[in-house]
Amino acid sequence: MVLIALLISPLLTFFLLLAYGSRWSYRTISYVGVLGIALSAVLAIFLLDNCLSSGEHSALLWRVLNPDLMGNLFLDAILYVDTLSSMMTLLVSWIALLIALYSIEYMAQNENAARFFALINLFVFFMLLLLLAGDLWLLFLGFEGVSLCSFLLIGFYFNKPQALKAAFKAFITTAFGDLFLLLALVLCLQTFDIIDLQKIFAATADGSVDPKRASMISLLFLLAATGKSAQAPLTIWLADAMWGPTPVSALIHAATMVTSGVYLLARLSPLLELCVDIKALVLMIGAFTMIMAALVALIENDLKRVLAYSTMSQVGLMFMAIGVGGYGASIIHLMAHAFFKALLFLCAGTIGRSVGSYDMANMGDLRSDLKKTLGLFLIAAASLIGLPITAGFFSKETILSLMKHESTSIYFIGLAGVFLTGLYTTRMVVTVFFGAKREHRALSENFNPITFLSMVVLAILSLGFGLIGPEVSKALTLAIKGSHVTLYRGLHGWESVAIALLSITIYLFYDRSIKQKLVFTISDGTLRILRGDLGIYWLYRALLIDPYLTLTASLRSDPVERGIRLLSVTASRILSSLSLLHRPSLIYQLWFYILTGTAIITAMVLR
Amino acid sequence: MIWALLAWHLSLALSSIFVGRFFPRWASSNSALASTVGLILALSVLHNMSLGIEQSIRFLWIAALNIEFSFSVDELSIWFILLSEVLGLLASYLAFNNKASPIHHASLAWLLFSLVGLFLANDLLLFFFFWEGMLLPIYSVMFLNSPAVDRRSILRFIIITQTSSMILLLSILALVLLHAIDSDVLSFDYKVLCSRPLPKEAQLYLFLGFLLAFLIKLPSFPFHGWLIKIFNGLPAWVLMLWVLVKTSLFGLLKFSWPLFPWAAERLSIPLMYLGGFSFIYTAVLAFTQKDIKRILSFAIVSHAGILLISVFAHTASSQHGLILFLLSNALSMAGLLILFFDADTDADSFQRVCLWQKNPRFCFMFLAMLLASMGFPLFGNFMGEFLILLGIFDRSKLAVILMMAGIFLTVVYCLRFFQLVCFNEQHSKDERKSSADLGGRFSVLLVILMAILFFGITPSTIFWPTDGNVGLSMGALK
Repeated sequence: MVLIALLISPLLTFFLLLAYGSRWSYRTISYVGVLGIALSAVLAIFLLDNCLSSGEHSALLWRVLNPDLMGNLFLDAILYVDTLSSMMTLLVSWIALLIALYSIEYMAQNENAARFFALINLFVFFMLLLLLAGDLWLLFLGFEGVSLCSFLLIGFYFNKPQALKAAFKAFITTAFGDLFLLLALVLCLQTFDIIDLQKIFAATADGSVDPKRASMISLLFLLAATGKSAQAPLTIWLADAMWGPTPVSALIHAATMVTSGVYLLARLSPLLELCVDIKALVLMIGAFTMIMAALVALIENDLKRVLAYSTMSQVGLMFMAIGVGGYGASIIHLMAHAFFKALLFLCAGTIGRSVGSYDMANMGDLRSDLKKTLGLFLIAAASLIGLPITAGFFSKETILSLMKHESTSIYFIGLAGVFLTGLYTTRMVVTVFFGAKREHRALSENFNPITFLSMVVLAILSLGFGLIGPEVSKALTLAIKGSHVTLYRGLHGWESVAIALLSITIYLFYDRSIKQKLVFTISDGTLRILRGDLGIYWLYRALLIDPYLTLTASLRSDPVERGIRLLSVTASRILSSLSLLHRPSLIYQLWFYILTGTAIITAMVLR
Repeated sequence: MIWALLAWHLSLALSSIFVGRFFPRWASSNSALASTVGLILALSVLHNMSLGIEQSIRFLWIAALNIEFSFSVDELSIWFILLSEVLGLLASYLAFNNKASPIHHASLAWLLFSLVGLFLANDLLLFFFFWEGMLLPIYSVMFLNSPAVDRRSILRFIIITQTSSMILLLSILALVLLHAIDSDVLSFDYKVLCSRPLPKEAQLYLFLGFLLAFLIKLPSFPFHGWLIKIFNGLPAWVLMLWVLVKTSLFGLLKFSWPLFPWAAERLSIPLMYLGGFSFIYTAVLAFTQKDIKRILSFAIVSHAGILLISVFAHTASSQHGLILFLLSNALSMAGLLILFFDADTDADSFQRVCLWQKNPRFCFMFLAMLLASMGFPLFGNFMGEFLILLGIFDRSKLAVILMMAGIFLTVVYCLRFFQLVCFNEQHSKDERKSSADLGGRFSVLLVILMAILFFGITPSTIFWPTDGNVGLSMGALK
């Protein structure tokens, strides 16, 4: 009951806002919009409580396909609740609630606010469906659903052509990833005759499945996850997705949807544990994306794009954690990341409002104007870097200790990621809040209490998550099959702290003139390569986009149809030259031939 | 029940042709009446089927050639009949909404009669008569009421359709004659012909004849040109019945495996590739078009490719998927036709106004119908595609890849279509009156949407009356 109400509540609000949004006042719209999510958030607490006390359970919603319709195929809609899914539900619904509260002020001036709140609610519905899905069909529905909401919300400011283009790009890229999920769905049903995930895991556990099949399926899932989580090679859409409203970037493109690839892989842990190669691939993809995105974040000048690349980089770290078997650790980092990255985006929203743009070249010396924002931003940034006692410190430590346990080289890659994170975060803080003052509007901040409250809650979570972290981590590690025990080292992990501090120091005490160069004028060639995600986008252009556009341009006049037309014209010429009647209409002519043909055949047979 | 169905449609078709001239008001309500009562009758036929009652009509017609007046219904034809009744209802609604002339309504009634007769016919010559009968209303509408189509396109259309018919007729005659030589029984009866397949060589040529006729009518790549050309000129209500009720698909299902088991098996894999290629090629072309109606016409051709793949996969799940996809795709395309072909909205207004801002209901419905046709997992179209994919998986890996590519390209052109219509860049400069929002059409579209959602969420419930034996009579499935 709790489960159904939790899912239905945002969907209901979506329909309410769709139907009556144009008639209601802004106040009603925003309250209804928040209420739908708030109800889910409250119910999520009960769900987790229920799950912790009575263990995992699944609920059969309805039979999608009757099993005896064709050869014993089981296609059921099932919801599955375990520690992992209920914790994620709690996280997503609460983050969504906080961001919806923040949006009340942010969206106040917008005439399309009803549409905004409706879509946010729809997104929450699909996201919760994705998390709670116990079978692959509902999972796929959730995956496609969040893509759709993301598409509509990125293009929310539809007066900007770039926003529409970005929306198009994002949907196409994620749809490409989702294609693999569809194929995985087909392959699973082919192999196991069932799409219930738990039954699939049970079937794989007894070893009756062809290992090649198993790794094929997990490879498909991995590709789907890379599309959703903007990992290599499907990285190209996330940075452009920042054209959407900032609360959307915070919710969808930082805290929840982008990390659903990580969730998918953690959910599939029993399958991944069977395929060592695929796990190694996850590790490689994660490592590459983490380093690549951090390098790009170092040279980007748009605040939101820096944050977007930072998201990709952090999700890369989560992928690496999965690659070394730390499913629980990756989810812990997912949670911590959701807190501090959402807060960073909300701060960015406030900054963008007061400056009038997100270009960091227009910012600088905002510390005196935006005091509260500076405080919140610093907390979130410290958490992102992983300074001691913050949430980020705790979660990164869990991952790094696993890496150290696994192999030294992986550990060094992880530390390199920490170093780069420290570098680009410090650069971001310094250029936005300190440094030389530049031309900007710099309105003074006066927070609406609700807005401020939502940000403070996120700040508290970004700071204090480490306190409850060990408990969460233990519960998750127990819940996720195949998850390695996470060795939380506390302050013993001095290397990462040292490296983080080193990166900050390097940045702060670097010669100012060189720093200016480092920030804004790296040589153009390097810049261009970095901007296109280390050439990935260039590859797409050269191999896919441009050829497709050339192809479509050359096919526009439909050459095949022309060929057929030429053929038919020639045929009709021949026919009319054979015609015995004087200029008959074409129908009579054709019937004449039909009847003649019939007569000839009849004569042949009767003979 | 079959008697009632046929007699009802015949009487209404005749009455609207002969009486409609004098009582225009009667004619315009008549096509709606035909399909409403027809739908009820078809449902009772379905009910009788689920009770296991044998339903057929049979008596000798032309004794000399042993041609029978024989009709019967099976698990396959009932879906096509129901589909034509529903689309007939939608088409008459659209025609009524656009204040079509009585001749259009008469054409609809006649078209509906021919379709029902075609799906019920058990005698091959009877089948051919209805096949030709379908063309009469199309020609009459074209000649009488469509100055928009140019003469050349009309001529080409006639040549193409008549060629297709001629090939079909010749193939039927040759089939019957060869069968007569082979077994000394001259019969046009479907069951008799099925009972004894021809030798391999003959099968191959005759199958190619049938295939060519049906591919032209479907239309499939490379014969899709005629549809694109006439799409702009024919009224949408005629198109709805003529193009969305896939008569040639029915023909392919009914004839290929039962009559030519060896040839159909032999050619099935290449034909699946043809279907896949048709799907992709037209999806690419749909991406390049600027005109809304041309995009729609390419989309219709494109989806026929999926149907072609599933016919020749010939497995249990692809057969189920085919019925699901056929029904939901026809409904979603009908929804798009209702959206774009309306007297209140001219194509011009789509070019100038930012609909997303001004016509939210239109955009909502448009997006929903597009999502359905691009295979969003809540809709029946997705379930159909999914079951088809499942069915072809063991048959051919290349076909799977082609179909996946097609699905992706469909997403690409549908998204472009959506942005093209809803977010026009010029909107800010032009402050002219926007086209009227949906009005009464909204509720009709909502019903269509509900139906597609129902197909997608519980697909198996729609198969209950036939115990899921969709087209199992059409030759042994894999």
